[in-house]
Amino acid sequence: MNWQAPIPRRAVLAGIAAAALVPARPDIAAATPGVNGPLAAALRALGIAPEAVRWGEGFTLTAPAIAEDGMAVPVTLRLAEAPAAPVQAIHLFAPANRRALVASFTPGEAAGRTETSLRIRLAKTQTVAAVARRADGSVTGASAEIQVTAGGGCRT
Amino acid sequence: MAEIKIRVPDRIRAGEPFEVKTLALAPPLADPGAEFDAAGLPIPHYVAFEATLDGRLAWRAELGPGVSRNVAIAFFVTADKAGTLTARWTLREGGIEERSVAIAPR
Repeated sequence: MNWQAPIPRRAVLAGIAAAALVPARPDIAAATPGVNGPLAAALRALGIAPEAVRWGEGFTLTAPAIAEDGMAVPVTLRLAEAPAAPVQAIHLFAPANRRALVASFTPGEAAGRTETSLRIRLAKTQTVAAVARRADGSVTGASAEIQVTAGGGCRT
Repeated sequence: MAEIKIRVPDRIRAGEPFEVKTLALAPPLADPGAEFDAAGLPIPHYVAFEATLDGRLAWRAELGPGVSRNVAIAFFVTADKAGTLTARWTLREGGIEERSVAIAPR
């Protein structure tokens, strides 16, 4: 066999590396919603400027990649502890639901950790997001994409 | 009286956070359509949740129509001494459901 134009090994390796890099941070890519759309509108309704949200800073949102049942999808919100700037409020959003705001949380003085789990309804496949406001005025966010197919979405 | 479960770990250490898991079942619906309002949004049975340890707030949640009908909430509490953890669910139709569990850290 005669290779007329062998594919350079270096180019192949670079291509593989690039392909591996692109989807490496899908959470970050998906976690940077624009200043338009239902999530931004829901944030503004709560007095939070969407541009001010720092995504992924000390905040994780854990959820199944594929929901078994759109009627009750388990999500876990976990925030890094910062005694100088305790979390005052956490808001959870499902932007593709008709009512984007799902729940709001207030940690109390007896809370052991800024972490909570909740089962939510999802109308369809979407990127669920949560934002937390700290005492120093900073707002951090986290998000996760959840596929809703098998069990069907919920009319939310 | 709705069926409500609160679970705390068997062993709790003083000053260390422990997870509290709660599940509040909503009563069965009279007919399946009763789950949604005229606009098609789910009508929540529980609209708010609040947990206190000896009167001090541990966790509070406002629950919208996007929360599952049976409300499952888990959160963390730190107790320095023995006390009572009280969980309270506010019903949309008015009234509350309240359950207490004794906490005995070692």
